Amino acid sequence: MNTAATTTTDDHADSHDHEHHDPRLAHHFDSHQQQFDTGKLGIWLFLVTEVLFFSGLFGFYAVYRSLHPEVFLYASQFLDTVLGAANTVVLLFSSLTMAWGVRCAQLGQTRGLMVCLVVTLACAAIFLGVKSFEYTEKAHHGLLWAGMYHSPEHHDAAAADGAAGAGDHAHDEAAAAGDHGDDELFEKTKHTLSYMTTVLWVVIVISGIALGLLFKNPNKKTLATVAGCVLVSAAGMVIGAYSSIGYHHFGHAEKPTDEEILMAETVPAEYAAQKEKVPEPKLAGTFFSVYFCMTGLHAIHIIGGMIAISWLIVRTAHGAFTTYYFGAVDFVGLYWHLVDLIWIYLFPLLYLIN
Amino acid sequence: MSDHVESDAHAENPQSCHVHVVPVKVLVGVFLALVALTVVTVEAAKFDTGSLDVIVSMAIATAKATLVVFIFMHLWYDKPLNRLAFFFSIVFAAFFLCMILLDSHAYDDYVKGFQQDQAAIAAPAAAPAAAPDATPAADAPATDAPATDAKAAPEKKTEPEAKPAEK
Repeated sequence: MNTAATTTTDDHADSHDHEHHDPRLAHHFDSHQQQFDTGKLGIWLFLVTEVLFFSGLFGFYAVYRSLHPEVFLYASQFLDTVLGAANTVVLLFSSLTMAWGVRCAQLGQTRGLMVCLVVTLACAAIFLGVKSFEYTEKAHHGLLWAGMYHSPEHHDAAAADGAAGAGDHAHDEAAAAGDHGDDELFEKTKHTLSYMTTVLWVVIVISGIALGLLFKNPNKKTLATVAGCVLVSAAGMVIGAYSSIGYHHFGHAEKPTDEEILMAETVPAEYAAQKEKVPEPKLAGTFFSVYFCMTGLHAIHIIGGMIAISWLIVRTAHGAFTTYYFGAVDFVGLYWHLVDLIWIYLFPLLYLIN
Repeated sequence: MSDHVESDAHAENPQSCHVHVVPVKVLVGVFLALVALTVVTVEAAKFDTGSLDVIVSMAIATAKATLVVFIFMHLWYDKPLNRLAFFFSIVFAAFFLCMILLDSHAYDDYVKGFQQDQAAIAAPAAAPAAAPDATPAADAPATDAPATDAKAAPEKKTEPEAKPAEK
């Protein structure tokens, strides 16, 4: 059956070669329809492996949460729900623009496709920017994976180990001043992020200059588009990082003030008792192992998706996609939606534990 | 090979690719529904519903995932083969999760026994005296609950080390 099929295909393709060779149709396919369907089955099989790949980590999560629910209850309070929800919406929006881009590609609207892809790329970069803020903040709070985890309970363990004076001092200070330590850590976080944003600004300037120089040159279309993609990615990350810093500033100016008023009204001992409500479980660091594994792998997928989308943008700039050849857009879109899908599950599993 | 026959039908015009184009209205509608569901899940998490919490948030996440898969990923309009492939990946992922959950909870009684044993060590008393009776109890740990656990503790203490090694 196979041999019969291939011989007819070869004849067909050869006749095409002599008359008018279609560079968009690979030799081993009869028609664009067949090429598209084959590619689609291939990308679905890839997505199947992706689902099974991530299911290992979801298994890690499920086993650990079912055995130690108190760890998740305790540790998820250190994740900022608002940032997580904002990231969810950003990613959903990028999914919308991706799906819209596929539609544009199917209808042959090159300009619309370009706009959709650029917006998708920018959203992905914003997601990474917010994520980098979250990671930096956690690193400064000592909320790292199990081996690197430092108790946020004002280093009780350190006090017990021997650095008793310093630990007690920190504890007293924290009990008295409440959010003072958080402020300091936020400043540190901002400082660390400023390195990243400085690098990103340099990248923005360089890629902006490159784009400006190469834009008019028809021979350097690829380079110019790559520069544009880099520009959009860097700008998105800067926007993401700054907006999460801005949100933290804003939230910091409003929310803890109420808390501070409340604290001033209540007796300190009572307030301390309130804070002790959720005791720190022994294995709290393992939650952050799960957190960094899952969100880290997801972030790697986002970066991969950004590279793939940049590739699509370059090809779109060359006018590669037509109403009968848009498979690549559709396939990258499917991959992107899967990345979105995984985040849809990660968000409630990590951020919304009550 | 029915695919081949099908593609032959289009062979007169190889420069065509018939697919379903999703209208913009549907796309935007799905996006708005997804955002609404995100808001719902965030708000729902603020209520303390105990163990229902996970179920509610997972149900909402699955509703969102269904929308993304069927509309954004075109699976609703796609070929049955692609639908089947993805469906089975979900089925097998679920199967995998169920199996490892079953497996990890199979040792709950041993862990409990170990913990109680640790408590017994802290207060050393009648535990060694009762050790010889414990052999049958260790074989059926699910049925003997708190009453015999203290007796079975020394026997079970060796189990947690032995069992994982066998796997």
